Amino acid sequence: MSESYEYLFKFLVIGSAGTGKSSLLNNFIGNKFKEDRCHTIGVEFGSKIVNIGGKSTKLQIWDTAGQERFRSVTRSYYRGAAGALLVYDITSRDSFNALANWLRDARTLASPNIVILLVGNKKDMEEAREVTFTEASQFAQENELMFLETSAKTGENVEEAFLKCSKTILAKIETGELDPERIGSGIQYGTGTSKRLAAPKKPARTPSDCACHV
Amino acid sequence: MIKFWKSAAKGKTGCPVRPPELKSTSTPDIKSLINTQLLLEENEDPKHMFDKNSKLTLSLCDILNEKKAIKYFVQYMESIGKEVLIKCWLEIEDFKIQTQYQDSSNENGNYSKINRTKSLDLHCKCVSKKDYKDVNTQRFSWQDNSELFTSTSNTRHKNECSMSSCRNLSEHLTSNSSNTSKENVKTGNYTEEAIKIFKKYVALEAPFQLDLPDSNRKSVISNICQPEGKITEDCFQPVQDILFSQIEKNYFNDFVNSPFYIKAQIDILTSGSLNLKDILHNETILFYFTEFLEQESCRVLLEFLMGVMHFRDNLLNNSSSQDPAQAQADAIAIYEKYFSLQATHPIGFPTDIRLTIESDICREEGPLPTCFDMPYRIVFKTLALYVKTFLESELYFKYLSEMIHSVENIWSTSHHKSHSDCSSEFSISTQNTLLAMGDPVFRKKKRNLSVPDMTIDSNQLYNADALWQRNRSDGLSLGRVNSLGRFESKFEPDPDKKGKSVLKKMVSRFVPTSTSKVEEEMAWQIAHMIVKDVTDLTMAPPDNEHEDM
Ligand SMILES: Nc1nc2c(ncn2[C@@H]2O[C@H](COP(=O)(O)OP(=O)(O)OP(=O)(O)O)[C@@H](O)[C@H]2O)c(=O)[nH]1
Ligand SMILES: [Mg+2]
Repeated sequence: MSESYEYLFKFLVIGSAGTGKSSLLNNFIGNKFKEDRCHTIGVEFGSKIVNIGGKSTKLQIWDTAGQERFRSVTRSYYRGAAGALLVYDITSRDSFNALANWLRDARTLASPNIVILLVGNKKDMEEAREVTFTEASQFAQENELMFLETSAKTGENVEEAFLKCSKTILAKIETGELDPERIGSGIQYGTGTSKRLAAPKKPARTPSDCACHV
Repeated sequence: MIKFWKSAAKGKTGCPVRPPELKSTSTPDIKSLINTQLLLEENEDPKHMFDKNSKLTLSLCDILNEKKAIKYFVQYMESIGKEVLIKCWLEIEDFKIQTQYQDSSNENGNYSKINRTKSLDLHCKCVSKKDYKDVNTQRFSWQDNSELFTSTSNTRHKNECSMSSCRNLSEHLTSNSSNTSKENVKTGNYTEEAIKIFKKYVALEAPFQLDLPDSNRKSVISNICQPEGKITEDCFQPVQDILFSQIEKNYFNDFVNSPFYIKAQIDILTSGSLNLKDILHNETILFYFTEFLEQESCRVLLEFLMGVMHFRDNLLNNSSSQDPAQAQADAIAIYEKYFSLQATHPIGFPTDIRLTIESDICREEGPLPTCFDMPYRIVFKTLALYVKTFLESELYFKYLSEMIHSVENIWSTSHHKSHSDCSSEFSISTQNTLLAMGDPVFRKKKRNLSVPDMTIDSNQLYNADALWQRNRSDGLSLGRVNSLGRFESKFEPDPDKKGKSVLKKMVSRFVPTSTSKVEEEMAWQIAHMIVKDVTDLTMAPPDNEHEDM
């Protein structure tokens, strides 16, 4: 029997190769941490139902390949995602430097309303740290991203990262900033809500939200 | 041991053997998700399985050159007051086709056909494969409608008028103008046409200014003023090129995010059925399909297709810079995930396929891009079978109704202010295929309930007229936004109302005014299925959800 949920969100996990995107996903959906994980080719899916403020919400997570040579294909999956985790590795300066590029792709290709959370992964490897918490926070602030440091190995902050992002999306739905019924929003009503067939309260829209408005 | 097999593969030290089975936990009798009988028939071309186009994703090239959904694009351009760009494009297009028609009736057909293809190539890779007869039946005739333009020229800053010219445009786009072409063959002179277009759009003092660079204008002038007096069909090509890039740069993205584009997609959805490719290469519907596959416990099939697609594309596109060791590592990653006896995501390929893949991966020169093609085809065919059930699923109808909702939601926020007769926010009644949605009282009541307690008389659901009456008593004003974006009340006298059920009329709004009865019937059936689906859902006891697998 399929579990019921009120909302379904499409989530992306993006960032450079080897930063631990698949490890984060696997930790989140309850799989064991693996030291020798294969790099991702294409997309790996995961899903989980989480409870956010009393609302059961299902996340459909698309973990994409980070390797540069797959970049052109993975870009095509950005469209219509409600949220994204943008991952770098705190032990790799390169992965941090690449963030601007990833962000530019996400901002141009995904929907303008996408909620992005910056994740500094491999927090457990403090001795090899190359990127400080402060500079990453600053990057996050400058680019209007939320920010957390995580460890897919110990599980620290992993669930929080997904939850925090989901909460923000939900809050945007409640304030009307996001319309779940707008196609391409990356949000669907779930089995729990489809039966009620009710339109949500009319979102208060700003003119810039209106696609007709030019 | 697994480590060894991996490093052996990575280190180019010949071919690794199959990984020894460490754990006996992996059951060899994993339920296979696929049916290997689903291989190709002899004469089937497997190439199409790797194509990346979806009917649902329209490019500017599809629209301008293939004339797909062009009426919606014209409407969009009208709505933002930039219709002159598309009108000019279409007039030039028409001129080209007309010229071509004359040339071919003068037995110069081949020459001009080649020319036409070339000019299309300038814009994009998709070359129209239509032969000239096809092209001719969909040509657009603007020439004999100069009054359309004079009327617009006087009033083109008034929104109302641009809307009515929009109606004209749309009619012309779909009308077959073979009469005109015959006339023109008789007259055998299209220099006049060229000059007309030139005066209208290209000349310095032209009433319709296109923001053309001078060099552009000059090259058109020299194209038209040939010493031998012979004007070629592509004399306006420089103008078309500019128009194409202007539209692409400044307007196309907004069009894609507009309700006009969604309407075009709804037309596509209701005019025939989708195949797997249409779904795989359109992210929006793929979001729903992915969820569907998860419910059917076979999302791994989709993951496999995507993985192989990436593997293949990567090798084919970067063939020169490919490192065979890297290709092999990629292939092994796929192998370990889906094929190996300890596969993390087993699909249940039979032993013979697994063995073939093993030896293909272990080629001395590295695996070929095509080394997973055979299992790919099997999985593709399997998933294609799931598409059939998907198209009848709750999720698909949810997708469809959200498409519809998006159109009307955007309309109602952007247009209802200007139409004071629209007393309800729910101004398009297509919404009401979802019954209670348009019922404000119901909506309020339901919002806070997680378990629905809908009590709708099922007779009501199938008796459309009763439904509308039910809604009306709640004070809902039913109406629609017509193809021009103007709100029309359902309760206004409507001459063509007789003989059609209300719901059926609603359905006809999904389809372009001029589409055939067949398409309308299809849209009707889909809307009917939505209603039926909603009924099933709401009538069923809460726990009675389908649970396949
Ligand atoms: N110590 C430590 N290692 C980690 C952590 N997260 C991932 N790793 C390791 O980092 C390596 C790469 O992890 P993956 O999850 O495959 O990285 P990815 O971002 O999915 O890489 P691509 O799929 O190629 O884009 C693996 O060897 C993991 O074991 C972490 O939080 N701490
Ligand atoms: Mg990965």
